[in-house]
Amino acid sequence: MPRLRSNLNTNSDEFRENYTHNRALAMALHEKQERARVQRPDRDIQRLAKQGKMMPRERIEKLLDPATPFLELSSLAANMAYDGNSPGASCITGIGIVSGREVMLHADDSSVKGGAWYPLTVKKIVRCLDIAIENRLPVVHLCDSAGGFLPLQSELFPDKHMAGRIFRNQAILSRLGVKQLSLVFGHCTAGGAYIPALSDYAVIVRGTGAVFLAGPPLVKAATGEDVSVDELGGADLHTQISGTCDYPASSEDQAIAIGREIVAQWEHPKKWAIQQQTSEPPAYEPDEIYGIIPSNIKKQFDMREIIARITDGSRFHEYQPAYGTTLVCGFADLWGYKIGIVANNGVLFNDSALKGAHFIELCNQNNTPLVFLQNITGYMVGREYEAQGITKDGAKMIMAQACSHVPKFTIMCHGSFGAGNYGMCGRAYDARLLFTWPNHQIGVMGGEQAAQTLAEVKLRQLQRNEQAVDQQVIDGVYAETLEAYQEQVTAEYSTSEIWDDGILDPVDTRNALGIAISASLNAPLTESGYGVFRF
Amino acid sequence: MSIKLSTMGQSYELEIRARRPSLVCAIDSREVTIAEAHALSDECNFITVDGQHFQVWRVLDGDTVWVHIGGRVFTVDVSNDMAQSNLNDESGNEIRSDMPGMVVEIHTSEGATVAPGDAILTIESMKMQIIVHAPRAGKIDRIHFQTNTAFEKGAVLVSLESSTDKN
Repeated sequence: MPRLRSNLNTNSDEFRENYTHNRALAMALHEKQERARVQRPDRDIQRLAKQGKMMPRERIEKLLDPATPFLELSSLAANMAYDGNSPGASCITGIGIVSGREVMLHADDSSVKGGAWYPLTVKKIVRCLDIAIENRLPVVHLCDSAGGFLPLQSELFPDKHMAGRIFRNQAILSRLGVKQLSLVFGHCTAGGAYIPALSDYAVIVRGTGAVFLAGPPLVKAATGEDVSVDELGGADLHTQISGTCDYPASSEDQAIAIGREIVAQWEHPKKWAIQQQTSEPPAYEPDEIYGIIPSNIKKQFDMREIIARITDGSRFHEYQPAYGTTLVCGFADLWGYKIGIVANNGVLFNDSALKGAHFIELCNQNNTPLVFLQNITGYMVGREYEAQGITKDGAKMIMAQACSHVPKFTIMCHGSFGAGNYGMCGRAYDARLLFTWPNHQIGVMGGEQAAQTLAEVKLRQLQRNEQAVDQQVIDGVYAETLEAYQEQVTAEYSTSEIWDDGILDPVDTRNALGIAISASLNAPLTESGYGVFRF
Repeated sequence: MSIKLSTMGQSYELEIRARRPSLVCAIDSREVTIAEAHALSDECNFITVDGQHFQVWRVLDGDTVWVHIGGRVFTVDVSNDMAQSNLNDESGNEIRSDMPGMVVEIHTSEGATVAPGDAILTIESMKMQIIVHAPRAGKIDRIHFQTNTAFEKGAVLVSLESSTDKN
């Protein structure tokens, strides 16, 4: 496969400006991640120490195989919610290696408000179990939570994708033959009690671990019964009498050791045979990506420059290089795995939409996973393009993409505006994993366009009601919309709301995709099939 | 079949015109006959080029071919046109837009000389800013639109002085 030839001038002012700008964004990302991961009030650290508990990340570190990668997901979830009171949405999820098996980890973060579940905590846990279902990844739960955060119960309990979905997903995983292990370090109260109960294996730490539907105060209130935590749901009760848990452990360390041994008994997964060859690093330095991404969201750049910095040997077999050139499609290898890449190089026209749909079908026919690199402002608008059927051609691309059966992965490299988000495998289209870059912006339209549209609506409303047109009111609507937009279009907001699976430092993209593709091979390929394409 | 090769900073167009009885290549249209090629090993060949005899060692290292011939060592790259995807018509004098839009910035001026790849204009369409680069070296004859003016699809944005105009 030919090597891409980069046209990037690393000595240009533009490169240097972009590099400085984007590297600063990446450094800020790492700082925010560090704060969300480890910065906790002293009293919380001391409280855990006094209970003989490890910090949640210490548990994870001891559980994972030494010197293996851990792909943490949504590390900045909830960073813009709840006044910053729920760093990382009070839980840790990610794909790691335990006793040589790829597993999904879900750990409650008891260093934040006793590990209480906020609405976004629930969303993050449900998402990690959805990922486990789609990729057939065994799950290890590290349980230590005070239960749902009651003041916000209406946002975490009643609806389809709220708390109940956690246990529903556990049952579905089990039905699919995917194994689950719970390590009970702290309390599993109410709904949380079902996590170990619905796991195939459960280990519980004597003294600190407890599983019950209602804790002692609630029992007292309900029936008048006076009972201690240990008597009600401690390690000995559940491993000797009730059978709700399987292994008692005398310390957290022992629980982790037992857990690792349990995973070591599990059969190795039968991954599907993706086309694979020896891997080679990209010929161009991945950190040059910083110099490619423009600091202005509107500015176009050649996505081949990005492809050259994530694929094996910077090699790329481009499909239809002369047709529909605003969409770059082609085959490449990434960490040795054969992939198909669909990348934006401008607005989607009729020909680029058709090319995209066709290439997605080719990858499905060939069982080749798809990687989407998004930088899109939408499908072309205007009478001429409508007359050529831009809407139905875009619909074909969405049809091909939505019905695609091969694993899909999406990287939000820059802008993601309008319907282009759909055709390029946005969040609604079941990418196995979707990551954003720190510079990413997302919205139904650009901020300026939205503000202008709403200001115009306001103007017409005033005119219709024959009211005096007060320019100040119109300007106010414009400014207000723009301000709200500017906050909501950012990658930080996107990741806070879990519209993605985390922000990546662009230089980590290749590694993250490598782990993601490897994990996706655990799930068997399903049959391909499409709906009706409108021709 | 034609291949582009580069060695020691120079590129050559190589066309294979015949394989039998002898290999006939055109290197930048100059015909060369390579006869009696026989291999001593995978890496070592005896060849006769237009009647002159050579022993050639050839080693592959990634995409680079190392060639030892007549006491000198060359590295040869087989360049790949597809990867470059330079699809513009480089000989044209007119730069057109393939979509409607607006000029947001002019980076040069009429009468200026540009090198291939130089930024001439920034245009905006569909919320995206695209830089219009010079497809070849030349002198700018006309920039047809001012900043903040809109143009239709297919409009000529920039005219370059025709290359034959040069005196």
